Parts: sequence; C-alpha cells; structure tokens
Amino acid sequence: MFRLKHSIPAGMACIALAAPALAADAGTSDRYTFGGFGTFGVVHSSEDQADFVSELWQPDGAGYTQDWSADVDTRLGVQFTARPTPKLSAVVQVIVQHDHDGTYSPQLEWANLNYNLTDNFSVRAGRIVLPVFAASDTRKVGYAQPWARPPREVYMLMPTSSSDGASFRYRFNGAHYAHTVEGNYGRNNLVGPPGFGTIRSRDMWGLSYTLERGHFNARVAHQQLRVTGGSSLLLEAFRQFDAQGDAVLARYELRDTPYYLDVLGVSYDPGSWFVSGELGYADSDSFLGSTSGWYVGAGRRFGPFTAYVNHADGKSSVDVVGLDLSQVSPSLTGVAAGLNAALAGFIDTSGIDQTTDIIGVRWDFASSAALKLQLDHTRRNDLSGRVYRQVQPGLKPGGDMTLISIAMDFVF
Amino acid sequence: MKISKRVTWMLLGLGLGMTAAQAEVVPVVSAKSSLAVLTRNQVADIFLGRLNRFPDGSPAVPLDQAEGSVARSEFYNRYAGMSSPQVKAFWAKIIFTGRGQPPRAVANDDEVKKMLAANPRLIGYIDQKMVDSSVKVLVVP
Repeated sequence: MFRLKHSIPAGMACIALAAPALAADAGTSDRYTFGGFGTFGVVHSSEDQADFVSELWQPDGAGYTQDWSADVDTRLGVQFTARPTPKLSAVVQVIVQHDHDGTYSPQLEWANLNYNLTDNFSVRAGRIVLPVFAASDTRKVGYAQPWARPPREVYMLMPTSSSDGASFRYRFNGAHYAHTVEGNYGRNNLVGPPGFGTIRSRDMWGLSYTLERGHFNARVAHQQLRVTGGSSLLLEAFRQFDAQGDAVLARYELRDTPYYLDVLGVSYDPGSWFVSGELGYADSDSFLGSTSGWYVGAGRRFGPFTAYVNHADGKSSVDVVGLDLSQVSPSLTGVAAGLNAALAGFIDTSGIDQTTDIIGVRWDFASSAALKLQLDHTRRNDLSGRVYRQVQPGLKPGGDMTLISIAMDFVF
Repeated sequence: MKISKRVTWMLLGLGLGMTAAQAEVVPVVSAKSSLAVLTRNQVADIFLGRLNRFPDGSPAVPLDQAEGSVARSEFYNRYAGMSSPQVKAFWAKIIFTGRGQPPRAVANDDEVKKMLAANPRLIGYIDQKMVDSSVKVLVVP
C-alpha cells in the first residue's frame, strides 16, 4: 500500500546509528547539544486526478500517484548546537524527507552562527529559515504544532523557505508588553520538482514586529525578493511574435521579478484553549499574480488531548492578456490564438482558489511523542493547481477533496 | 513503565484540582539572595527563557525539576498555565530554530536546594513542605 523507497531506511538508519554516539558525548553538556525531531505520517486523498503535497517542491504525493502516501509528511531532522561562549552559538540542522527528485536525501535546513551583542540584541550569519509566518521556521517540527501541517492556503504564499545571509533580532520587555523586531537579508536557490528548474531568490529582505502581552500575540511582517525560475516552454513560445510576444513573456515570466509579501497574525493561548489567525497578501508581476490567503483556527485541550478546527481560504488573481490578434500577421493568427488559449490554461492551472476546513485531534501519548488524526475538506472553486502536483487533465475546476492524515510526531 | 507513566499523566491531567491540593509548589531562591518578590509572569518568563535577569538587573538562571515529576507539571500549570506537553512543544520551537535550550533539570527538591545554596543566581521550585532555612520562598502577588 505504501511505497517506501529503500533510500529512507538507509538514510534514517545512518542518522539513528550516529545519534546515540553523539548524544552520549554531547547530549548532557550545556556547551554541545544534540537533538532531533521527526514525523511518521500517512495521507490519503479522495482526489485521484492530482497529488496533495506538503511542500510545493515535492514531485508527488497522495491522490494520483498513491492512494495512501507516506511521502507527504514523513521526515526526520537532527540538530547539533554548540555554545562555545555564552554569547556565541552555532547550529546545524539537517532534514531528510521526500525531496524534489523523489528520493530521501539529507538537506541542510539551518547552518548559522548566532552572536548575542547584548541580552536583547542578537545577530546571525549563515542559513536561516525565514520567519515569514508565525510557524514558518518550525513548520517541519510536527511536534511543535497542533495540526498535521500549517494551512497551505497561507503558507504557500512564500515561494521559498530559507535564506543564506544575515539576520538580527531585537527583543525588549516593557512593563506589560514584550516587543520583538526581526530583520533578514539574503539569497536562496531552491531546486523545484522535475521540469520546474531552480528557483533563484535574490535581494531578499524582510522585517517583522511581534507584540506580546501575556497570552496574546500579534505580528506583522513584510518580506520581499526578486525571483527567477521555472522557465516555461509555453511562455518561451511567445518569443516568435517579436516585440508583442516579448511583452507577453515579460509580463508573465519570473525573471528577476519583484515579489512582495505582507503578513498579519494574531493568537491567544491561555492554556486550556487557543485561537489563532493569519492573513497574507503576495503580489508579483508574473503568472503568479496577486494572491491572498487567510485562516482562523481554534483548539481546546483536555488533558493529553487537543481537539482543533481550522478554516483557511486562498485565492489568486491574474489578468490574462495574450497577443492582440489584429496585430499578428494573418498567416499566424491561428498559432497566436492557440498560444493565447494555452496561456489562459497555464494561468488557470497555476492559480489557487480554494477553501479548506480542518478538524483534528492530537494525543500526547508519551512525554516526547504525539499522535494526530486530521480530516481536511477542501472545496476547489477553480482548478487551484498551484498547490497540487501531478495535475492530470481529468482534474475538473471546482470539486471537493477529502484528506485523511495520520501522523506520529516525536522529538528527542 | 511507560504505560504507567502515561496513565499517571492522564490522571493528573484529568484531576488537576486534586493534585494542586496535594502538592503546593513554590518558587524559591537561595537564602542569601536579596530577591523577595516576583510577579507570576516574571516567574513564567524566566523559566520559558523570555527573561534572563531579575528585576534588580542581576542574571537569573532557572533550574527545572525532572521531566515527568509532579513538581514540574504542577509548577508550569500554576505559573505558566501550561501542561507538560505544551511546555515541551514550546521548547521544540525554540530549540529547533537555534534560539536556546530549556533550563537545566535536577532530580528532586533536595537537589534544587543543594544547587540554590551554592548559587544565588539560580531560581527553582520545590514542594512548600520541603522549604527550610537554605532557601527563600518568593512572594508572588
């Protein structure tokens, strides 16, 4: 039923064998710490004409390729932290999960040096995961989240996740409020699934401000970058129409294209229950157009059980402006009309217009492990192809999809 | 053994009121410390790594009790409003973003008292019945 490639057991076994040896030396010392996290999860999708994936660069997932897939959520992360002095620390985190090429191979998630200039002000250099949304930088640590995975309608708004560069964090505690300002600058290369090529992000910078008062937390963030990638043969075909074709290409391709993202989030968690919500708006002059996403969720804790619900909505909009057929030489009007239709189809498939309702329960059955059972019901108002992979011609615009996720999360 | 721990935990979770009556856990510092009062939020913030100084500006170093101990779950429930899994999930977010490590933990009330006696920067928590002249109970208004 599950297709587990032999590279997973091999890769994970290597790490599992290395872990106790390292932990014996370092685990108990304050100066060096070794730890990790992981998820064993299976997902079933009722939609058999497209694959549900947890990361947009995964080549396949649950639905079309596999009825039940262990590839969507299963992962293992290990982390080594060194604190040679109270002010200086270094962190390296490696994650093994279903990758862009369909294998399970280790990827460097975090690798940076952190220096505390003061109690309140710290700077980092190296690879960080961008804290764009509230749970962006821990989205792979299933144990740290109430749900199986963060709402995709919102979290897919950021086309990349990590940044190689520098960042700072300034935090100060007032009488009743705590304030945190964070900033980052860097670049990133993200290898997409086959056919997507490498997505290059440059001049990437972001700023965020977080306000905390007791159990209340509010956050605003801005992130922007210039993106190049995903050269599309369809868009390239417009080149044959000279200046007019180049204009269409320039309008929709991602070539050093500015991408802007703004985020607003609030949460309240007094302990026995919680509510949270985030709203994001992304804009770029490309086939991705402008996209908004939001969610609101709530949960109630009963001893070791947490029951939760969530509602998320994602919607993109792009104007389709193809070739002006009256400006095209009569012998090529047929070709031009065909390209225009293909462009409309491409934009349609690359968009998102869907809502998802989630209901789930988390059971903290042991001190470092939790079991989750989650049901997602997604209503696609259009094709909503952006968040799916292996989209088949049989995928109809509109339609309902039910997802069953069973996951065991752990930390060590 | 794991099962019995789990059952204990579930019972604890279901009967919080009962356990609160059984063990009154109080925050303590060394008897030599000049600190006398902290707010509930300050106590929680120090143990959750959000605050690393006492109100007088001196460094504050939290000392936990063993994971799974009654004192520990009672302490976080009372001062931070968090269950043991919530505290664990909270630290997972900090640890796996390289932002810090949870407080050092010792085995029991006696170990806490021993550590506190040697270091006035430390703040711990013990069962009120175990308080003696080596430690000072903080007033939490």
